[in-house]
Amino acid sequence: MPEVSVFKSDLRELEFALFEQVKLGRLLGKAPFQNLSEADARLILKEAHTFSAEVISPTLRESDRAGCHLTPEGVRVPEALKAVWTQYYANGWNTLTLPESQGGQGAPQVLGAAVGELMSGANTGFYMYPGLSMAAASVIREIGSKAQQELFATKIESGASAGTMVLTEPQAGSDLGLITTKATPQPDGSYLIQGNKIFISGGDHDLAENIVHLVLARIDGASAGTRGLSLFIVPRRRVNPDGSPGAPNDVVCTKVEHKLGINASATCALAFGAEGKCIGWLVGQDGAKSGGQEGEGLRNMFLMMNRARIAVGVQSLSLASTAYLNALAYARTRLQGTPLGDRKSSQGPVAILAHPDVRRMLLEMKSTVEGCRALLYYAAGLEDQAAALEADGKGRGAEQLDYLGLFIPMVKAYLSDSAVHVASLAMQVYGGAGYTAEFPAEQYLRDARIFPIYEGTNGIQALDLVGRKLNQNNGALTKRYLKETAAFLEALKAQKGYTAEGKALARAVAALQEVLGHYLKLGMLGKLDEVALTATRFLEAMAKIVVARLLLEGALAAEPLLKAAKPGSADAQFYQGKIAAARFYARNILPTVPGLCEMITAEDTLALDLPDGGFALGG
Amino acid sequence: MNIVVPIKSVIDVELNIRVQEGKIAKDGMSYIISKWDENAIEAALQLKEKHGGEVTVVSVGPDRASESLRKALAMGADKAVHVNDPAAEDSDSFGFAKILAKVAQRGPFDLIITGKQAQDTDMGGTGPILAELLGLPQVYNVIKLESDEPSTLKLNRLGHQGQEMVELKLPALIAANDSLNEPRLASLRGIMAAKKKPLDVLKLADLGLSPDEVGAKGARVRTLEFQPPKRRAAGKKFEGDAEEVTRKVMDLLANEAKIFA
Repeated sequence: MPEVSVFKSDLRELEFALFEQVKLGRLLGKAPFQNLSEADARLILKEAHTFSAEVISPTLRESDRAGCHLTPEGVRVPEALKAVWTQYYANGWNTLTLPESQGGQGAPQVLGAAVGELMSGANTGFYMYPGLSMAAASVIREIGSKAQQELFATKIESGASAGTMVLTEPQAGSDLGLITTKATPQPDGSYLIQGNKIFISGGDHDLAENIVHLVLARIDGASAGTRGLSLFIVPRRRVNPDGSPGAPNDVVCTKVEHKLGINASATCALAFGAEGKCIGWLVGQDGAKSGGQEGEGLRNMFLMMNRARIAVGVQSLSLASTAYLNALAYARTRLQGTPLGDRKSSQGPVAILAHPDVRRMLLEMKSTVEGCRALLYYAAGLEDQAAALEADGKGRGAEQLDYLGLFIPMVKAYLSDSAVHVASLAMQVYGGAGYTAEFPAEQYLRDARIFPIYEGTNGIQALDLVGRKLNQNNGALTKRYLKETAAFLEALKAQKGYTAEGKALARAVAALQEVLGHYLKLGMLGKLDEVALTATRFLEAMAKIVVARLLLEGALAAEPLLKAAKPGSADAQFYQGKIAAARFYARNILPTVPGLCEMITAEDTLALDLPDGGFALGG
Repeated sequence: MNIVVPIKSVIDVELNIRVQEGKIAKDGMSYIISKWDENAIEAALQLKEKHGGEVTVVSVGPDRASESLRKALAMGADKAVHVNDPAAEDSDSFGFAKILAKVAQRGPFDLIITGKQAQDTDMGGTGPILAELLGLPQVYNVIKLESDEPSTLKLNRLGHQGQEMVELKLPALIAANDSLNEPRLASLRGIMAAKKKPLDVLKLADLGLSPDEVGAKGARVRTLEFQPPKRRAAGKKFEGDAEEVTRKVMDLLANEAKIFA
């Protein structure tokens, strides 16, 4: 029996975020998005919601319970997922953002993020299979040879093959320089691949007839560290000249991990070339000819990693959103307690939505979810702006893409931390019922907990932000952001009724600027440990500023719409909700920023100075 | 086989529908294709896939009806006709049937498929009146449909006392029950393909109709007001040992609900 759908989404809010906040309408109908109108985008959103709720969501609980299993023939996924995979590809949902030249619809990335939010929210464990597959295909499209595109990318795009990204080894997790998987050149231009990889999402399964692995490995004789790494295409089964699957390629799954969550997604340990028969091709190499992308492995993998980090943002937002809306629905119907100060209430117990602390939790969830959505769509929108600028011949797309780089660590880390926080609050709203398997809150919390960990831990994201992005192009990205924010603060001053919010944002920005000066000083003194020690706090502080500004921009967009709406109408309540979410964030979440910044500038080095034995004596 | 499918755009029934001053509040509402109309579209698409021909979907309504028509095109219909005229608003079943009859008569057709009723008003009047106006035989509440040759349909309809098996020569009108089929979803490919399909927007004058014949003026049925339904009391949940629960429920049914009396 298919289960009842527990997936919830707020299409009205998604449409606001797309059309009022990001102003997607300005890009649609013009190159390179000439194929889509605003009405198309709205219909796509609506039908994506229907697909998510009716096709994907009924598999959520069942696939979590069933999990993935290793058999002598390979990994078997929960049976219910197979029909979903087939229908997902048959209906073309994977082609949304693919360029028209590759049979896609050429939709903007921001619309892809919105549709991804719907699909992932319905069953994020399932959505990882097509999500990672399409990311792998896009890397092959970008840097693969023509033959590789024909043989591999086309197959992934049709759903005949799946795709993966294969980085981690038992001794090489966050530090990829330690990778030992080797690639030995063969006379025909191919390579023999040998090594063991772990934690490979979708590493083996029976959804597609073949799996195309993108594997980081070291060519014999290449230098140690990350510079010696190259990226290889390694199919699970060898491919015939027409692309159809042939003999096994000596890629064997040796273990499926038992995990806290995302149990629908097969997390695999893979042995490449245990029998010395695993063949791979250097990405970009054309047949036996030399060339290709030797030693460019990490750079090439980052083409995929950036996408994957935004995709974790999509996953994070998707669970936070459905967790919030489920908790809200529960709070509207769960009767418990009487209004404060009215113990003998004649109306009997009230819905818990009436209780102040429940309302506080719900508004905290709402403002966090909507803030995360605004940040994600803003980041995805930068990629679309870049594409539009390039298509327009203005040639300033690269600038926007550099700028996007500043926000990627915040999208990955802030959204994933928020997903765990919101899922946890959602469970709290349910009370004891939320801790049981009767409601989806517990699965959302379990599923969300991986997001701060994979695709570069949030600690790594913070180092990327403070160590790389802040100083990139001589600090130009940071300067641009601060300049834009200063201009926004000026504009906010002119807006009636936003004095408190404006002051809170100005105070937070000033505190952050002080930290930037402090970091400069630490850098000159060579105290890099202290920068690293505080990087996570910095990322949180900066992300909160970014989110607060975006939410306030949304509130300013909502103000005239609220005035135009009939008082008390559904429209009016919606815009009141948008404005309240922004104000709540500025008044209740943003004020932690000066505190975070103070912790950074106080140079508290206790964690560095403590002798190792001080954490606890022993081994 | 050329098939015409009239569809109605109705308020999404999953939303919290509110009544204000005797009218349904429309602000903040989103609209869907009335569910039995989706069964009608699906039936038409399956017949087209079997026998060839064209499926034309028709809707009478304001701008928002075009969204439902575009969804029907995305599901696989070939053409759409949107009668968008303020004078057609507040038509009764008779008025809608008159408009739909004119649209159907614009081209040759073999079959009209409707839903058995609309999901908002639950009147079920438009289809039968449409069949009468066009002089077509009609079979209502169809739950099974077979067609070995394009001129004839073999139908099972849910009648008053069980199923009736009917053979129907075309042209004709049939009305779908929701157990007839499982309507397909609009795919992304379908949505994009629909952009290239014709969607004609017509006024009453284009159909040779005067504003007085339809709409509120031509209506024989007038809706006085809407009232929200009474809220149902909360249900009871029984937990524990099966035998004990059964005894408790039986006791309540007998003594409280008195259903055995």
